[in-house]
Amino acid sequence: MEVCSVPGRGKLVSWTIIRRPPTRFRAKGPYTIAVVDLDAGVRLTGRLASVSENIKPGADVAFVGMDDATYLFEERAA
Amino acid sequence: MRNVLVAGIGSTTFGRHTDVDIQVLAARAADVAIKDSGLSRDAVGALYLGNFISGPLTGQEVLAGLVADSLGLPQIPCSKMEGACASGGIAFRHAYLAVASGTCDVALAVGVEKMTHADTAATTAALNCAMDNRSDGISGLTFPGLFGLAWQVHADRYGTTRAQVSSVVRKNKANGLLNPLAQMGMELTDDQIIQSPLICDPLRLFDCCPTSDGAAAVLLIAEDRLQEVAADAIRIMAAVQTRGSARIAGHPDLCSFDATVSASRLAYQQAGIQASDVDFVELHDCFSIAEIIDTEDLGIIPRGHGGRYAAEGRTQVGGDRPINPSGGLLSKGHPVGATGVGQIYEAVLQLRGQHANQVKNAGIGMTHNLGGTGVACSVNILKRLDA
Repeated sequence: MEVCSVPGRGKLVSWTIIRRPPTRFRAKGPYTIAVVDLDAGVRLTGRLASVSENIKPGADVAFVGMDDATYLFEERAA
Repeated sequence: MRNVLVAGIGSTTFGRHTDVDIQVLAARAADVAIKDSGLSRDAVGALYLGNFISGPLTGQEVLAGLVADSLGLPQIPCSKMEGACASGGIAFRHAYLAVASGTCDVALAVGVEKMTHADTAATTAALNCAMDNRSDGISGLTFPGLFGLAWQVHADRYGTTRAQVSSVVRKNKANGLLNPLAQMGMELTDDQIIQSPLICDPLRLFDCCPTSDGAAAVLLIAEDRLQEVAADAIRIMAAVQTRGSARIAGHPDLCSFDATVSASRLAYQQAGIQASDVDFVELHDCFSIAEIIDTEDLGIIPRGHGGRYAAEGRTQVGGDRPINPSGGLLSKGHPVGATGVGQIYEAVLQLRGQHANQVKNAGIGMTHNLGGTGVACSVNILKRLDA
């Protein structure tokens, strides 16, 4: 196996806003969990930096960095 | 493999048992099951105990042996089964296999959990052990969160509405009012449900099963010893266990649990029946939306129609597809390791014609117990001997 890079562009599969975080994440709450299908063909769990009013499954998202050890995404224009 | 019967059942109430030690809780339920069967405790050839988090929450492990010790059982093999919320169903299946294979004639399956004494932080941390911490726990995901994710997809794809999901909550909470084992039954209106606090959009407080303490037990016997059984014996037609993805991202579909689909298909095959032959189901309604997804995964209701059927009253006790006549996890609460065995208890009462929410002419019942993010699933089919 070898490590490779893939573009951080993908589509939002689903999201939810955690309003009662586990203790070790309490300071970060509320936060939005996102499941994203990267265009590169990998599905992963991460967070959304913010949630727009009309967000829907299938929305285009982009990776914007690591938040501690979690993948952070933002909605992007198509 | 030979036929196996449920010969005796026992259960504590599910609720708060703060002052009762966990092994005593389990032993009480098991004692009732043994007495119900009319058999001697010396006849028990193996004990399987389902439990998830006795170590973190009570500081007590080695529960299977402890409970056998409390009961004064012979020096038989005593084993703990752990599969998160499916621990009880897994224990049941292993008790079934011990008898079906001829390893012993009589086996005891017990499920137990004690949670209400612990603070929320400790309980949440312990429950999160059921998640893949590397890929999901690290993001701050919770179990309500998993079902929040599933609900968004189900609503977007099938048009499932808040009102349809609320009808599941109202039904199960109402069923729980009449079940003497359920402590969290209540009359609820749609307004009360949507005014309860948001937990993980769109899930609210009343969409979530409460934590609970409790124990349930069933005694199994080989069918060729039927004449020794005092109570109404019920035949086990199938006891299936499958694996599914341990990570959310590993699910082919976020609003379906592939382990449930595979376990139910195998169970129908083993039992030689179709979904339409099932008279009632006790399934894993850890959250309201879970019941809707489970009914579709089990093939009881067509894909995408779970919300509609519930809203139309078809999953009520008197409906054409009774689901969770006991009140389910939503009103019994979810003493994690006990739930799977508790479902067998409720199903046996139905098939004996003795349930508080009796389904008319119940002849064939199904139980469904799902662990973690769908990493383990137990599906069982039970049948009245004369059905």
